[in-house]
Amino acid sequence: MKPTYLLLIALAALFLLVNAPPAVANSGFIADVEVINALQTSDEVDPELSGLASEVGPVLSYTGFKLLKKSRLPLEIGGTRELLLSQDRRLTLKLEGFQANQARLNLKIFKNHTEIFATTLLMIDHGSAIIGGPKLKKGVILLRIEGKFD
Amino acid sequence: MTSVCDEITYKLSAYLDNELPDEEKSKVEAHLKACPSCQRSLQKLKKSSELIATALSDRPAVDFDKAWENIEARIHSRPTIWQYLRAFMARPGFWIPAGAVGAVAMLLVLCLPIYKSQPSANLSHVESVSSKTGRVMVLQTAKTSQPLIWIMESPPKEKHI
Repeated sequence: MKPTYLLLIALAALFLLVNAPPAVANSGFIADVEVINALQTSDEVDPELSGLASEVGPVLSYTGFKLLKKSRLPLEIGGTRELLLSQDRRLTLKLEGFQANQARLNLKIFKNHTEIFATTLLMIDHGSAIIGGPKLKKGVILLRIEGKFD
Repeated sequence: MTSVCDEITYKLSAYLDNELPDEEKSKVEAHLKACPSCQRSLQKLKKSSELIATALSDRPAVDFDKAWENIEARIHSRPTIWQYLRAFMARPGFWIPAGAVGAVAMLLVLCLPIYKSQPSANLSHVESVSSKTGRVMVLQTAKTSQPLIWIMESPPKEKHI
């Protein structure tokens, strides 16, 4: 085969390799949700939150991290789960589906019955995301969502 | 034709060109006087000579000396890069594969910025976010670049008395 045609085939193969999506066949997603109180007035870090402290601390200047609640929410495609965050706030998680190697997760926070926050996350297997900011006692609430494909 | 005639015919060309010694020239002339066949041979030879002389005397349409100078100059000169390129591009069947390679390369160049602008598929990331209570910032954690959404709630409105 002429070198020119070999070069053409090599270029086409390289292009496909770069852009081809991996084959994924997942039906569920298991979300571990941690509700955390982050403080600037304390240096105490719960042992299971030491990783979080090193990730978030430099970005947000919080030094104390206390785990308030931890829940596991198994989700199927199209399914929704609820988690009570406080007396007047609740969290809903919905698995919308999978694309390439990411799970599309819709997350909403309600205060009383009013939606105050919504986000769509694209989560990789064993990936995580953190949402924070609402005031709690002398610090703020952090929500850490870690997920793995089922 | 006798063997003498053969010998004379062999010498006719030299005789015509006046290249024979005097003794042999006399012999040839003596034979020619008595031999019609050798006379005819001489006449033919003369005609041929005249034709050649006429052809050579005509001015040539091409200056061969100048043409040879040009050829020699081109033989000894090294081709430039442009001459190489022109010769390469003039090859038969060059343009079809070259066009195909160019199209694939252009496709790669056009798709690369689109590919690079898409968030990496090896990280979790935020596709959309909205808040009704305040502003939202989307950050990343320090070490593993996890998405970090920060909600800045609006302060409560002051009561005017």
